[in-house]
Amino acid sequence: MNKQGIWKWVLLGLAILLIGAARECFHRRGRVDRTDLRRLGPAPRLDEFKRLPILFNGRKMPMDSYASNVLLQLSGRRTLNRRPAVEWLAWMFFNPEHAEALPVFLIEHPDTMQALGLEAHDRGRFSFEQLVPSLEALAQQAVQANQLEVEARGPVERELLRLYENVSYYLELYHTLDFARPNPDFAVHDPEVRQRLGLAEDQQEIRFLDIFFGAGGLREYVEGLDQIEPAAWTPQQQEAFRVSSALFGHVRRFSRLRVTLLPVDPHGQEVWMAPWDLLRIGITDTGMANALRRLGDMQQAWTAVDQKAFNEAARAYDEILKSRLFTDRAMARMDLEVRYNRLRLFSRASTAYTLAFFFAFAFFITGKPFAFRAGVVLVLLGLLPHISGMAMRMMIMGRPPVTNLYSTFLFVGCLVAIFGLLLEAMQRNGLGLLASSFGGLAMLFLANRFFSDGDTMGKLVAVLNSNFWLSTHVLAITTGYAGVVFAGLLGHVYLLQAIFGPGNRDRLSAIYRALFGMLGFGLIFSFLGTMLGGVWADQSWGRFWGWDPKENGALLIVLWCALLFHARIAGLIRNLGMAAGSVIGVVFVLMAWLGVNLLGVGLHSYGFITGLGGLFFATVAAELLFVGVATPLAARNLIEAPDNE
Amino acid sequence: MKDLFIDFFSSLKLTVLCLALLMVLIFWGTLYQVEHGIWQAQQVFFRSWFIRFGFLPIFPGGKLVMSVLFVNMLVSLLFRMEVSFRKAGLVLTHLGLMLLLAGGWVTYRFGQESFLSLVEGEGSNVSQSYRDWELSLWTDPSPPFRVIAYDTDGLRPGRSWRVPELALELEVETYYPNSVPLGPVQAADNAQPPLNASGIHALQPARTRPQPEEHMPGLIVRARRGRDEHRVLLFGGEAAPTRIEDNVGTVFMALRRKRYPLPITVTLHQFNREYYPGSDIPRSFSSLIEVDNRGLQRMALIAMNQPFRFRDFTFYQASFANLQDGSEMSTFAVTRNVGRILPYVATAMTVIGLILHFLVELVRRRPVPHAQPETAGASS
Repeated sequence: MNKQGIWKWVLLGLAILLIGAARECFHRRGRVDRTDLRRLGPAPRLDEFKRLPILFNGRKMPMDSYASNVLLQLSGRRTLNRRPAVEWLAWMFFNPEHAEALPVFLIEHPDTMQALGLEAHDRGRFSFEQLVPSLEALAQQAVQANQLEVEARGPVERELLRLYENVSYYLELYHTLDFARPNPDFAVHDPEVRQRLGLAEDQQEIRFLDIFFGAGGLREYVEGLDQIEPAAWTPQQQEAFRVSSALFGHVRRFSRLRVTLLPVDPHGQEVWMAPWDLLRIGITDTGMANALRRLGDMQQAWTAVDQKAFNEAARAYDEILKSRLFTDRAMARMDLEVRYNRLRLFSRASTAYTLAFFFAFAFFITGKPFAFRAGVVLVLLGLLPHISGMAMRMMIMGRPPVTNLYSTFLFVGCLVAIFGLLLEAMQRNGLGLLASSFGGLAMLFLANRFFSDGDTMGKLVAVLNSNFWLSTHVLAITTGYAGVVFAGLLGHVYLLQAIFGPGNRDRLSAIYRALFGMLGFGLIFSFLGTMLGGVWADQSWGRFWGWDPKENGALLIVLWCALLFHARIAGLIRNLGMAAGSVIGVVFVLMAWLGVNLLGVGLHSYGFITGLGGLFFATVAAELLFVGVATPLAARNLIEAPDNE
Repeated sequence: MKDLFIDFFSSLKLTVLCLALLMVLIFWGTLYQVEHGIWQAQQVFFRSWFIRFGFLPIFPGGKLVMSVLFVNMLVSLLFRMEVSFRKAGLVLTHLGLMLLLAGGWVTYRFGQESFLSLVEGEGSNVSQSYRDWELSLWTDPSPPFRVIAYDTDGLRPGRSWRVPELALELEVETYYPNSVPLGPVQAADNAQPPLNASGIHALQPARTRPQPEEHMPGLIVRARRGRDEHRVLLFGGEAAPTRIEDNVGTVFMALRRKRYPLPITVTLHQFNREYYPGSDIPRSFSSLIEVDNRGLQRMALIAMNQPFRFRDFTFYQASFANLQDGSEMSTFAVTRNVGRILPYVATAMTVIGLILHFLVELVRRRPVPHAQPETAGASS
């Protein structure tokens, strides 16, 4: 490329940058657009707010994670208008009226939209404002759907129920901090009553909280009112009566919201309460009363866009909660989790693996040492965030690396990448790099695309609540998966090499030796994992083996590997057969890993893992097709190629 | 003849065939569970010699395949496999696998699964079967109970036998493995209703279910004593026994889940459950029990993943229920298995053998020659 050519590209790049910057400015400065989180108007930054703790699904997590879990549940995404969910959450807490037009409700089925009389639009995400006219219809149809038996519910019924639940949760979120927001119900005009309540002269907007903490001042007006005819009440008495009824009305109306912000008793049983419930039972402890005041301060600072005051209130609130839970290590993990969310380590690892794959492929084809070195460095650069991410998860949860389906993919991906590097160290032919980068990338992709539904660090049910078995049985079986998957990857490479380069006997036999060893490794760990599963079952259910689907799936992998080895020794198959067989091995791993979940009613709670079944069957079909087509081709080429076995 | 036998049973091709058949069985049996439940699948696929279509055997069952595999390994170890340091791992592995199969057989043949449900404060020295029922007869309702019991497996209409201890002759009129009780209104014929403690007038057969634990059997039996004849109806779901009174004396009859005697008396003191704060995700369940071994008493805790063992009996926390009166009921799975330790030993042997073999082959580090399949092994 000549010099002029380079300049052309540089100029084009600059132009793109400028346009991007201009667009960004437009977003920030432009008119208020209530349907776009980026243009709702000015708001404080949330660095302090997003690390505050909240209890959700039995787990203490930072607001940052909470927001993204709730938004995922509502909209099927963890971000809104490409902004972090916590920004949306702050609007929901501090100024929800202004956030009503944001498209946060996912409706997938066109029939559901029709049933609710909503105008269909392709993005499928509706705002609360759009749903308001349909709320009555939604409630009615959800009640009907709920009366149907679970098996009789179709996709539309299930979606109606989910939407109903989501709208309910949205409304709870909406009202959680109502007490901290100005409300005309609490407007007090009489100067005497205002004085009794301790309201400042110039305070125009009055909140529930102001009245609540000054409510002692109303007592003398309200006491004995039932003895007097309403017509004879003084204006002060009227005002006091109106305000205190509003007080009771609010408390009653918003009881039992599920947004549990405040830990009430850290001694003995730990109970987290929604602020309104705390207000309802009457606050006896000053710490929590102060926590509520700090929430009020946060709201005021938010509205005034006063960054300093907002951060101060958030820090003060955090201090109060920390002092309550000083024994609890989970509080110290909040910052760690916020950092984990921010770093997005697995997506960094994916990027590195993608690049590594290209270099590994280039080296495999061309043999250029530069590509080899770049590939190794990039896989290492991928492993660094990959392993750190898993380590952070372990620290946050206080658990071994694998606790749910999501983390099995992280773990297997990591192992495959490491196996690849080890193989590379032994053979130095690019093969390990290829498998390493591809395997790591594929597993991270699957984890992110299909299994990050809801909280990926959720609490474990009683039978799984055992770090010992999680770190023995589960790690052994996933290591087994990794071994067999890796052997399968090598099987693909072997078949392709046999088709496109059957003359390269050295490379073929190198691939075969690696494959053979990996399959043996996979067999050992699959067997160990399966039997440890039996031991665990014996310890917790009283039977070693029960032909349960999950057990059967794991056993199929073991039997398949054993069958391949025996068939090879018996001379029924040769190297090519082993290669084809290890590709089929991947199919058995998939069955054991996911098939069981597809067999039953399904593992996921929100129904967002659409396409998992499709992916599963497509992958199985693709692998079988690959083996069916590639094996005869490879066999023919191997026979025709000079100098073959 | 002998050589033919050895050749056949030590053949690697037979191994491959058996492994393949077992895989088919497992795959098929897993899919079968979706429709028919796990117990039925175990019976049809894994605890049978053949899978039958009607009476016609169409596919070898798990019992047959695993037996052949066992013989295959045994004969191979005795007559074919080379015994050397290099092959030590493989020999150990296969010995372990044989032990595993043998252990499975011992559990299948001698294992006993039952359950024990206790309300807080209640104690018992018998556990109940999940699926087997018994017809029990007794005369004296005060402890110590002396009960004469008959398995319901043998009950067929028309069958009769004598109970010499009670001078009673019984004849089965009808027996349904699963049934629905009918009251006076639902029962169609208004003939003289049979004798029954719960006011049941007739029985209606019901379809057998995938989970045989859910079955409620029903029985109509004629009890003759001297010149008296009583037509007695018994139903599995009844709380009270049916009482026969005549001039010879009183007899109580009940159809109930089969009882297994325990060597100890277990009393539930307290049941505890914990949830993660603010959620309905259970964190743990546990039961505090008192164990009475012929007068010697001690406390023990049964929790998730933490069973209580006594000789070859093991008690596991299985489930719990809240009763209407506010008390809590805890249910333990009780298993009796003499071969409990076998799979542990077998697993250890197999895994050690595999690792040994893997390492030996790794150290040898020789490419696999194609011409000599016998020496093929793991190498890197």
